[in-house]
Amino acid sequence: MAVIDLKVKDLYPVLKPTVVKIESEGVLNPQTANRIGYEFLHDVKAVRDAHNNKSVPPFAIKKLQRNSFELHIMIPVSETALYIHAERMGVKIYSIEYPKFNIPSVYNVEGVDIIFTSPTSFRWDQKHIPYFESLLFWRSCLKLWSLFTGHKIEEQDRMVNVLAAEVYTVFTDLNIVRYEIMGKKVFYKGFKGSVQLAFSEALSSESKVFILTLLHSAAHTGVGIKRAWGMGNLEWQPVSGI
Amino acid sequence: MGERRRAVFYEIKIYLSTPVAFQTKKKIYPIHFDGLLTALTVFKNGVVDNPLPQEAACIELPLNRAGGKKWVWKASCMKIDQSKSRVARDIWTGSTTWTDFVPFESKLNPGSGIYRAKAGILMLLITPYIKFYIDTDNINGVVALLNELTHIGSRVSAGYGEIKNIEIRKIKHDYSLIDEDGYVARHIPVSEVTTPDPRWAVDYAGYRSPYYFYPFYDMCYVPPLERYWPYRRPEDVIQKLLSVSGSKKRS
Repeated sequence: MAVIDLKVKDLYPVLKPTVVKIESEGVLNPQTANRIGYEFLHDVKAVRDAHNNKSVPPFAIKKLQRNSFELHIMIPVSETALYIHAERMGVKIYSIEYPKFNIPSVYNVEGVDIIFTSPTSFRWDQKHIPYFESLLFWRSCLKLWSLFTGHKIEEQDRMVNVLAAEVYTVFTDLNIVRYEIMGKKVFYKGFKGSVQLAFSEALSSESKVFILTLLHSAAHTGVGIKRAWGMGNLEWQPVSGI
Repeated sequence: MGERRRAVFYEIKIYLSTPVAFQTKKKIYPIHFDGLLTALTVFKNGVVDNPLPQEAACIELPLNRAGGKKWVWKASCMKIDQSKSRVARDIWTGSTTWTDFVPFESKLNPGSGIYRAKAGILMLLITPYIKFYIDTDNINGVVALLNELTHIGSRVSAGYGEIKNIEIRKIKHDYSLIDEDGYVARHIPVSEVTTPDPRWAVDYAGYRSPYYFYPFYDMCYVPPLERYWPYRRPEDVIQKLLSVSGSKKRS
């Protein structure tokens, strides 16, 4: 029996999302899932403001299937309100979860495997970049983590440069696909597939923990554009022996 | 249930007049304070050599314990001041009675017997002092044992690890298991910790004195090398950038 409780604190703020698993009898598409997301949260001023100002919405659509999807909400919400809205919208809430993140031991972690499970694209200089670009990936991760945890980073651009240099791409297996968000007329191109990133040897344990914290956040917020429409989904796991 | 004890923590600073020697045949492990006290206890009780393995589990120390089945003494391993410490390499020689001419039939054993190695390499830790942190209710018992301590480390008969002075002072916080920087301060079995810090390294090591006793070996969280050995970590730009933002936030 383990009995030594050493009261270890988180080194960096960890994103604490609410994951709402939703099922629908009707066929779902990115547009309906996005509408359900906004309707579920339209009581919240921050969400209404985000919608009106076209700023970053505090939720993401994940694992969008024909009859189900997951709504990952990055701000505190009332469960009762969610159930009321689900009834109003004619969808069923299968479960509401509050996933806890336990950072794995990093002493032998040498990199990470990332799988982009839905098409992902980044915005850069008023254009969309539908392929994996380390700088843009870390920029998106850092920006969303900072936004939703409230942890400000002074030199964000420099931090992105350092992350891209210290965590380098060793393997990619990606396909660029078309993602229709509103019928066949409105679509975005994005990449799907896997990427392996390796940590530089000079990286400290603290920095490894920071990077895993960012990836945990990215797994819930998504990365890149149209996260509230089901794009930018990713899963990750630490790897050793690269 | 007994009365709730008021925790008392101590820092023990051992000043050294000569470098501490470490054998290079094995991986260098830090000296644990409970290891020192165990050796002192058995010497005091009249056992000339190290205690027999069968007796190992019975050696009582004036320290508090933590944990369940694989409990540990609440005593840290050595901590050095990185800025004042450095490492040197030295050789040692044994008897000059060389036995090269003696015929042999079986495998050579450099550890003991007539073919025992007569020379080897030592790593010397040159440092003005080493620090330990303990949690005890019986500081007088600890002091009584420390009065007998004259040298630490290997090759003490050659004068290495000579102690100049020992300072003991009370401290407010318990650093016997976890240090100020959040890293483990001693070997702690993995199975005993409920919520480990992800930064901690894991190694197969002894978790209780005597540290040569293999039944007390298990997968343990171990302190970082820079706690007990002169070592400069590679410069980490990410941490530097994060610490800049942290310090600005605080001010």
